[in-house]
Amino acid sequence: MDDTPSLSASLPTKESQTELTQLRIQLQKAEEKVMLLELALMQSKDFAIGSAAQAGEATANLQVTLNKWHHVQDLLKDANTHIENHKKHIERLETTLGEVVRANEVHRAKSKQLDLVYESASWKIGRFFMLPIRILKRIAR
Amino acid sequence: MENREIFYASDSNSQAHSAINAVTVRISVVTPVYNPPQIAFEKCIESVLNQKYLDWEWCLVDDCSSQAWVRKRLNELQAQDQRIKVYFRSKNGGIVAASNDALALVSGEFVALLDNDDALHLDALEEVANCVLANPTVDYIYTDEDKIDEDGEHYEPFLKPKWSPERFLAQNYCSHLSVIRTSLINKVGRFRDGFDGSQDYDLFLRVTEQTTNISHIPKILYHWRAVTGSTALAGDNKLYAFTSATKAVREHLERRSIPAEVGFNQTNLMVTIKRKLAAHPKVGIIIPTCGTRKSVFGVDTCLVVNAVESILRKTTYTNYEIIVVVDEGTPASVYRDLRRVGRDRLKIVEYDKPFNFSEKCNIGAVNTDAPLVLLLNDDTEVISPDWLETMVGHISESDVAMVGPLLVYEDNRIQSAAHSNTPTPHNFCSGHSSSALGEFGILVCARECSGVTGACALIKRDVYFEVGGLSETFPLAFNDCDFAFKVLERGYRIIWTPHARLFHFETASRPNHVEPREVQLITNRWGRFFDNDQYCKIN
Repeated sequence: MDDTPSLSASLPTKESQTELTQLRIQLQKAEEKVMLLELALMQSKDFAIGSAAQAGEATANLQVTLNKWHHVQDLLKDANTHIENHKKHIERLETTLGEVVRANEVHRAKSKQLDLVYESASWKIGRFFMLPIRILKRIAR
Repeated sequence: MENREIFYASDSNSQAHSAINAVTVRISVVTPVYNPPQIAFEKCIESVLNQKYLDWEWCLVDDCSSQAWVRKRLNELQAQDQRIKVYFRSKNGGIVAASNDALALVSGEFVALLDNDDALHLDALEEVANCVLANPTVDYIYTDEDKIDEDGEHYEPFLKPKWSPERFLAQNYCSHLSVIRTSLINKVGRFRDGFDGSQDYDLFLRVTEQTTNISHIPKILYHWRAVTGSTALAGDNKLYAFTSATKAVREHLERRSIPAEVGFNQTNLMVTIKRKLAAHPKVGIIIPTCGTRKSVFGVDTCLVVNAVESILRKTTYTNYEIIVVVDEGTPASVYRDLRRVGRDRLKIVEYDKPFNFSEKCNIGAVNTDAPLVLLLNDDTEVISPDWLETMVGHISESDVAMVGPLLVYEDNRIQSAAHSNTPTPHNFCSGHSSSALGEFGILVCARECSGVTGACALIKRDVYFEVGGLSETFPLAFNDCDFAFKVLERGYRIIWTPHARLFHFETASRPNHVEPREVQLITNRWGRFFDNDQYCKIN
């Protein structure tokens, strides 16, 4: 038997091999494309997840800030109440002070009147006449 | 479950009892009693009677104590408060029989287990009731605990992790105080004979098979009295308890159809589990490199060649391929040595952009079709031959997405025992001795964690792609932390195991530099989870 392959048989094999090689190259390119797409997909997913995480973080921070704001609001409310109470207290003090000033004026006027009485001749004469009684009182005490 | 109210301690018992009628969360404290130390028992009584929360009952069963004062005192208690139920066994039956008799007395919705020489914190039952009110479907609640010595001094506070099922297989870390829904205890068949010393562990394991509604109250609400001869004082005082624990875990895994060899490590008193792999999925080991050389154990070494060589020489797992992602400009000798060492298992992928660790790993991941990808630094070297079997064993559970091993420096100090986020993300226990147990054995048991280092991490390929791989916005640092946060956010578990061990000659290939931009970015993404690590709590 002749072992040499016929020319007609070898030609399609060569063509097939070329075709196969080309297919392999195409497959490799396709695989590379798939990989690039997979990488791009991963990046997109990471971007989405990362953005969601940042939003979550921002929300959490906002909540912390809101809590602080509420706390500050409470403090402010307390401070305002405190200020109002102080104002009322100041008003009360001012009223009292006015009353004291008025009382002082009255006191001063009365003191003046009293000084005039002490300095009057009738008071001095009366005092002179009452001297023995005062002495006796002191002795009795 | 609606219209629940909580009642607090008042001066009068009668007022309390009238108030209780409207309450729906009744907690039954269950205590088997057998010749307790008298002073400790009095403290125990005091701790229950002084609870702020009032809707409790106390089911005490005397297991035929030989000391006469016990019966007298129990009778007094029963007469003193109608919420106290006492049953006297006619013969000694052991803790399981006594505990089951106590459970038979229970009328409450939840059962709290209290030993006859321990004490509850004043707020214990109130906190438990609050937990139930906040989460009405909860089935099992456990709290932090500490110990009390014979002088009444508190010590060794155990700040526990949140529910950590993997760690629970190695140690009964939930232990005290445990509060379980009564219907669930009855459903699983209460305490079982044959688990003396670990009968509670056996019960908890059976309970946790039935529910995932498990809550941790991060407050010390139970005080475990350490008296001579107790397990609290020294674990090895009751070695029989650990034999029972091993048996309980073995049966638990059998019920869950997880084939495993279960043993007991007498040195660190941990149950050891080695999962038998039902399948051997392909692992794609991705090693980014630029062909750096460094002195390793005094010998000038090309790190990546050493890493690949150690994998091929030591690894007993057979189904893996190695994808080395090589920087442009890497010496030709490195390629040559890699091809010589790696042979048919090796695939070399070239990288021609400015250094970006994340991108290199992602490129490696798209270059493998293996269902499991393993990120590995080039400055590593395998120590445990079964490292891959151990890690694949953990990741075969459906909700486990990522597994990391123990990494040690050249001098055997720990480089990374998982990540901790307290105060900020870092390698947990870095610099500690690799033979250390860590607080409450945290360094010697496989456990859930908040992340593992990207220097060696086995990840399910699906999950890797689901979360967008390593973020390329972190070219140098924090890419692994960010990845872990992404994985955890999707409800997966991350496991760290000390039973797989590798050397990590850290920062040999690149300087240890952290970009402020990366610090800012990780904080902007996940800062709310910092300083509150749920798995690594250090006193």
